[in-house]
Amino acid sequence: MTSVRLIGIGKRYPNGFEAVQNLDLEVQSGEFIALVGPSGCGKSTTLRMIAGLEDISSGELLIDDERANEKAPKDRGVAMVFQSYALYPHMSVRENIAFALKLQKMPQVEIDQRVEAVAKKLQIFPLLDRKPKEMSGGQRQRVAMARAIARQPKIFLFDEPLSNLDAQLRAEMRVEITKLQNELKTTSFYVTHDQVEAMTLADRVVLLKSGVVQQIGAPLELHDQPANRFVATFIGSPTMNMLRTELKLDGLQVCGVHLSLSTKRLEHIQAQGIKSGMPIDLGIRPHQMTLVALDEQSKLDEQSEQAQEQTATLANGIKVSLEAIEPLGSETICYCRPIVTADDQESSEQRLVVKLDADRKVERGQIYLLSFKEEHIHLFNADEEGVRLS
Amino acid sequence: MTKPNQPSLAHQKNIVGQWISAFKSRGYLGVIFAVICACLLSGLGLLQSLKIHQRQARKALIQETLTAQIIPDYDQEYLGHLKLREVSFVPQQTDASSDQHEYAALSSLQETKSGLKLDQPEDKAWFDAYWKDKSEWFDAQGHLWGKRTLTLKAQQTGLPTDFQLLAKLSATQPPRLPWLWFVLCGLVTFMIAMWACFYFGSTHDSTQDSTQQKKAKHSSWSLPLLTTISASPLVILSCLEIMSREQDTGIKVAEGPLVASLALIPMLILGLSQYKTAGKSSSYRVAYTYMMPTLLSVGILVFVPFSLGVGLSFMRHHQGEFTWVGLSHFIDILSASDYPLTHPLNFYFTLAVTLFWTASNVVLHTSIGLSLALLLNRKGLKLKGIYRALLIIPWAIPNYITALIWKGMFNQQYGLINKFLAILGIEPVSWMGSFWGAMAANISTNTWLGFPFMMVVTLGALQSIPQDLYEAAHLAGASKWQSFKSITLPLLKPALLPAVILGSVWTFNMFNIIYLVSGGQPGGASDILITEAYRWAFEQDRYGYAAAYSLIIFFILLGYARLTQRMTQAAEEVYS
Amino acid sequence: MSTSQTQSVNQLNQHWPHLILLPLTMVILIPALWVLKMALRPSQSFDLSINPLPSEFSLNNFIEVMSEPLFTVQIFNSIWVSALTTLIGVFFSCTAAYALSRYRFPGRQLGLKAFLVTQMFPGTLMMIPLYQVIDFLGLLDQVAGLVLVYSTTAIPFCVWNLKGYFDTIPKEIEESALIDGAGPFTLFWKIIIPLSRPALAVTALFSFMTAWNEYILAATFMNDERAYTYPVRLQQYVGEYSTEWGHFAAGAILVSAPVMLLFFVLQKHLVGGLTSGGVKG
Ligand SMILES: Nc1ncnc2c1ncn2[C@@H]1O[C@H](COP(=O)(O)OP(=O)(O)OP(=O)(O)O)[C@@H](O)[C@H]1O
Ligand SMILES: [Mg+2]
Repeated sequence: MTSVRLIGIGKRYPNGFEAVQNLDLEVQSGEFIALVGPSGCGKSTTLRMIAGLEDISSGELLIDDERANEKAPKDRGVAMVFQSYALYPHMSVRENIAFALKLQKMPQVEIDQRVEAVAKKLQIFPLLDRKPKEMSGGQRQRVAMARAIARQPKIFLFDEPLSNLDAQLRAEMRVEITKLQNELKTTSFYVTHDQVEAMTLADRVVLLKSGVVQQIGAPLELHDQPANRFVATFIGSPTMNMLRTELKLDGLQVCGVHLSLSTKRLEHIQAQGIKSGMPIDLGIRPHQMTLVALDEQSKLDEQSEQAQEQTATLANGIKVSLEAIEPLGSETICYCRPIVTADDQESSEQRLVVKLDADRKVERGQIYLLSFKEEHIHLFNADEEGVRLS
Repeated sequence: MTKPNQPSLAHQKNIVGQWISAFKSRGYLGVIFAVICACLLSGLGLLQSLKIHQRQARKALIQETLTAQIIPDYDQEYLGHLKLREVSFVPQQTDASSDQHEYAALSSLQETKSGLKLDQPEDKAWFDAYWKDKSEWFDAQGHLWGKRTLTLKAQQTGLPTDFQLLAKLSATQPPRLPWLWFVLCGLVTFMIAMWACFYFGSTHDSTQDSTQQKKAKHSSWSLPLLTTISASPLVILSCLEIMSREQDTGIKVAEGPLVASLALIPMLILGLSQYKTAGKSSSYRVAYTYMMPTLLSVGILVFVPFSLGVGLSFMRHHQGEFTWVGLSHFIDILSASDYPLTHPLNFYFTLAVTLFWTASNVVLHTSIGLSLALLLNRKGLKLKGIYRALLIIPWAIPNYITALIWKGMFNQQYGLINKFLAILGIEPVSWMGSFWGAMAANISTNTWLGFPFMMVVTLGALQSIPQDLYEAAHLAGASKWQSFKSITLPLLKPALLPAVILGSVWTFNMFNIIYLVSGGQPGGASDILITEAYRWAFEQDRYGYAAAYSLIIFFILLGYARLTQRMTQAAEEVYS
Repeated sequence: MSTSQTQSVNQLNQHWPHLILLPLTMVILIPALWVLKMALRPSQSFDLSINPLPSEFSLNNFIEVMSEPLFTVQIFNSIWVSALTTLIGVFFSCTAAYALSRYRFPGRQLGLKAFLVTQMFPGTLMMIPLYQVIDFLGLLDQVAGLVLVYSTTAIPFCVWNLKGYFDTIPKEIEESALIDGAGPFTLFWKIIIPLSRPALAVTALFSFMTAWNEYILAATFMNDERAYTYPVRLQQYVGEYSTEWGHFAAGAILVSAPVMLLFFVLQKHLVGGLTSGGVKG
């Protein structure tokens, strides 16, 4: 059982590029950490610093409360699965898995036992005597996993291990990894592009952007309470809709429509120095919006009294024209554009994505009213950082 | 960020502690390895030095005895018309008065750089003699006993079958210098020890951290320090060696510091690089240790001779003496005032011949290699393997053999080429009699032995072109020629261009073919620059002139490489 | 009918390269065949008929060449020199190429260029100083001297060839080994070296050929017949004083045979090993 602590870790490449800046992270033993972020944000760099493949330029890495900055990779007790798998092409699967064990001077009998046990667990037993080039991508991936597991390391490091697999295999392996993780309870770091992987596998997710941590938290925390606009748009699929709004005395002006906010929210916002008349970014997830046909509006009007009792809703709904529909079977994705007065250029250029149930029938080119509940909205500062307001 | 905390403090030990702990943590393997290497190499160095010492002692002794009788002990053999004799040599105690030389065929033995050479004997037969060390020993009185063998090679038969040989041996050359062995072995030992230390010892050095500034400074000093400590015995040894030698060999004192600095230079460089990079990434250091063996050997055996050669080009050589002449050789060569422009010895004439030679060869090599590779790369061609194997044969034959065979084939009387021509009803051509004939012989020989290299390179490059590019081109309606022009050629370029450039450099300096096939006939017209330089050096004994000549060749090639560099870079951009 | 026509067109398409390759291969083989023919004739003259196929089969020349008193010594010298050259050349160029391929350090570009520049040093410029250096080291007439000279001549090309190949080995494989607990030496011997076998084979072949085929330096540095490498002796058969073509041809075949064998064995590697690293600079 191993805990890992990263204290103000930073990486500056010889060319002066700061790939990671001041990263603080405390990992409990047995925890599964996912590192996500856009390409080039420094995920791999972080992982490689933990592995010892890159020097740590600043800060301190503690493994089991022991400084590990200067330790060689082999002394850190880490195992790594690479995106390209990095199997030794000249060795059979068996030799690949046994290589690290041999270097540990483990007795041959024990090596054989371990290799075979791991191979059985990952269903690659029949492949043990093949060379890497004689296997499919999925099989290679399993071998790479087996190689890491066989060592029984203190820490697992995965660098986008599933990104070369097709969707189905990926899903399969995801389940497999979850199973293994439950079984082995090894501290793990997992770099991925795929949010689904991050959300399903990780105990906690670290989101990076240009080498700076944006948020660290449980997957749902990132989803439900994004710390800033970047996190909000990065997590979730389809991405969260962002609307530029203006703060009014008792609510927001969204695309020419008034949205009243709860007093609690208003106070909260004002406490952070945003005054009436200032812009605010409003985020709302596609699945938390709904489209209402214009002729249904009368019905809606009837119900609105009841609705307003429950939560504050958009007064009227934003008038949108439906530009494109993607029926996916289980759901329908709609792309809409707000219809506003000609002078409100900014909001007319915005695209809104709405996710509807599959059984809702909508038509392209029609005009709908878009509505959502106040409780579902996220508000962010409109400046560059876009810190969450409430 | 810079807060000192417990674990990092633990690393701030003193230097010695660091090294010791590093060794400990690696299980002494490094130390043992280094020590073994050091022992082996110093042993080797010592042995070699002793051997040389012994040789000197022996020489000194022979010089004292001055005369020795050589009693022939025949074992004759005929090799062609060379006569070989083995003569055994029994040193004998001579009294000081009998300084007279009593001999039948030889007057004196004179030391030369190659060993011992017999001077012009009286009967004008020309001898070449080699001493071979056989069993020899010194007795208690310090006299040399045993048997030495002297091989005499004479160009004439009919020498007296039994003759007595009295040899006057003198050591006119300064004895060889054992200190170099000390230095070399010490260097190598040091290098290996460092290597071992880096690898087995100090892995904790491999990651350095800004919080570890102090430690970095420590290790940056520790290495130069260690360097100096390990170097000092060497330097002292060399100095002692030189001082002890000084009296009897007359080597100037100034050489002492020179030697010492020689030994120190590489270490200094290493230490300095160490110092400069210690704060940054120590991977530099690892890289330098990997490079070190090659740098050392290539430095000593390629760059030192090169520099010596450059030095030589400023001097005139006359009977073993070198005098400084400055740039006059270069001026002589480049102004080419001694000969008219069409004279074979005119530099520009030879340069033109060389350029013609290189260009025609490269064109032929590339075109033949390329077309053969294209043919061999066709899908579904039968016997592909056999063709390839057979077509590589010329490459596998040593080029001097090829050259001699082709020279025979171009012979006017019995050469096969002329026999072919005779069948076609053409008069026998005197190939070596005309410039064009000689060049044709040279070029065809070189083409024969040179195209397989280009063929193999092209084949490899062809195989690395993805097949789907052709399929895409085919679908786009490209004809074969179009896809060749727009896919094959551009993609071959990055692999072919460097091969062509390297090939042209090799051809430019292709000595064997010209020297052996045409031999410069007629009248040196078909000589290229490199054979010309060789003639100046070894047929005219004008080493300095030849060195200057060679240096000019080098600069021409350097200019050519610079020129082509841009081309290759451009080509590589296509690839990436 | 039309199908048979297209078939024959196809056939022609398939087989026309033979029309070029076959005669060309013949022409290229003729000189080699003549050598064989000369070796198998008892006579020592060059006079031959045009027919390249051997008409007599006498092993006399081979026997005579091989029963020369110094034959075994000289052949052994050659083998010894070539083997050591290969070993040292490949080992040294391996480490250097590895550093050049994997590390970025000050002086790397310079080093690469320097290796390339050595290819342009004219032999004539080097010979006399080289002689002095070798003499200085006390290595004249010694195998060690030749080995040193040959391996250093071979190293630059080998370094470039190997560096090119090492560049193609993915970095991840090495990193994976590092994490698996391999030290630098294990990494080098167990991962890098086995992975670059084709390039190593080719590099070894080149260093071997450098030593095996060379005679000018050998003739310069070796004054003792017992220290000659075989090419020096072979060269003398058709030297200035004698022309023993039969002996020469027999000796030439003896010398070329091992290299040719190596070429055939390493043919596949030669194609891959030269390009992937290749002369590509
Ligand atoms: N050796 C290097 N020298 C200089 N900069 C580098 C080096 N390696 C990576 N970088 C830069 O550091 C940044 C982070 O790289 P890193 O490989 O960690 O990204 P990543 O998050 O893993 O991206 P991806 O998801 O595409 O793998 C990138 O912008 C990259 O350009
Ligand atoms: Mg990455």
